[in-house]
Amino acid sequence: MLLKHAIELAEARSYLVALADHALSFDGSMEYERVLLELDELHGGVFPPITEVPTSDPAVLYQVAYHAIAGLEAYDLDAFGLELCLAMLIAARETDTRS
Amino acid sequence: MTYGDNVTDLRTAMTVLLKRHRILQPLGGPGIYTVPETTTVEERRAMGEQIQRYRYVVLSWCAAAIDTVAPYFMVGLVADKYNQPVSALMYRLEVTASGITAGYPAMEELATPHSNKLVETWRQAAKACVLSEIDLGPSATHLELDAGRGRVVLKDAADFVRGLVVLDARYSNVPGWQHLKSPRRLESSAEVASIFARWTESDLAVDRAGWRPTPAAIKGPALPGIGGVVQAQHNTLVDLCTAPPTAMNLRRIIHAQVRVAHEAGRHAAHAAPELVEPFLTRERTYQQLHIAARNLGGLIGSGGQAAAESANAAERLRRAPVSSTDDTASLHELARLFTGVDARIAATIGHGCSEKLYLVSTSSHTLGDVIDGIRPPAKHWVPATARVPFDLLPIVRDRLQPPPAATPVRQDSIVNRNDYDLTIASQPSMRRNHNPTL
Repeated sequence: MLLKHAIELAEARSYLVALADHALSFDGSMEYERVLLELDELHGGVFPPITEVPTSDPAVLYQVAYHAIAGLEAYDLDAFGLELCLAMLIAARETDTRS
Repeated sequence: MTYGDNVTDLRTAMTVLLKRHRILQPLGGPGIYTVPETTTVEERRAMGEQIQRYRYVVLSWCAAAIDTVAPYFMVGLVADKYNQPVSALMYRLEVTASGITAGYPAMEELATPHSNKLVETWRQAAKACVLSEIDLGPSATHLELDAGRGRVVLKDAADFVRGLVVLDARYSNVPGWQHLKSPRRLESSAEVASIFARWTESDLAVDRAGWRPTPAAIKGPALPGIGGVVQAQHNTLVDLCTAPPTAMNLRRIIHAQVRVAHEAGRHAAHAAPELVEPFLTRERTYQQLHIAARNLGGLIGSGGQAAAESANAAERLRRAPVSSTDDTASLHELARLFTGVDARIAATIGHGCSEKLYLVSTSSHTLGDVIDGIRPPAKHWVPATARVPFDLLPIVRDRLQPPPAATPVRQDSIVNRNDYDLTIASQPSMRRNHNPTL
């Protein structure tokens, strides 16, 4: 894993975790965690650690997480798997905001 | 069968044998003028040889049992080992076994009942020993031995050796009978070991331990309602017992268990209110575990089936109709399975961390040192037991690990042993008085 890839993956993971921690509902939190698991699975269980994020605004967290996951396409990853992750993230957001 | 079941069978058979005197008569030989001789000398010789093969099985079991528990009692220098009660008995058993020419009985002899009652009793004793062999040996962990449990096994084995010595003298008239080598020394060593085992407190809970068949998965389509959840949770436990999961699958299992506990609490509010609090406590524990395991990695293991069944359990419980009082028993069964899964996950994480199957991803501020002009990436994975801010293990230790349950002692454990002690002590050939207490 290249350094730039690791940094972007760390960013995506960190913002997903922040979304799960600041979720409005139990179901929303569980769905964000599922996205994290899927993303880690996509990387074969090899990933950089989570770091703290500078904000707790769900809208900002979501936007950063979305673009970080979308940006991983540049690193020779399975594009279909990434699209699934993004779809799961959108669904998680809907679940969280609906409840 | 448990250790207690097998040893009770062996003790019962030995007690019957010890109460039997004038051995030729039960073998159909002469003895009483009013009872005619029903077997020839050759037939009695054949039965005697068969009995000696059964006796060899019992003696081998005693030696194996003492070898298994010996590490709990052998202390001090190797040079002193023959002065210690357990080592001395091990040595005497070795000498005795080397002097026996009768081999092990064939499987047919062990499995086929004999028409003669005396031989049949010996067969029962040998059969109990063979069934109990799986619990013995250095790698056998079914008995969960410690010093307290080891004392019970040691005393049982030593007392059976004493019984064999008594019987050996009684079978002198059997044609072709081969006596044990140095029986007095063997009996003396066994008695000393038996007394040694009584010195301190014994743990009779060993009677409930022993090998059990591995539970099988419940196959077939999902059962309706909470039954399907119990089915999936049971299968999760079975697969967790088969092999440790990879770190990713462990995280998936923990993730699913959060939801299972959450939904179980919701159902219990209607059907079993007493379970609501334990289920919610479990949910909080798994939430903390899940947070702590976010950086956990490790590629060794499997656990795909357990992860899938866990997800099944969560999904089925989420979609199940709200529980009624008819589901109370199922929810209690689910609570029992939760305890099993928790214990298994705690053991898996503990084992995985200590054996470095699970590692933690950590951030590094610098790249690795330059080696041969190449700068390799800094190592980002450290063992979970290393000194990093990693709070998975304390959660496992404090909240997930179930408290050790006190195993109730079987009611017949003491009674059977006291009966056997009395039988041994009442033998005319016993030179000393014995206290029939464990």
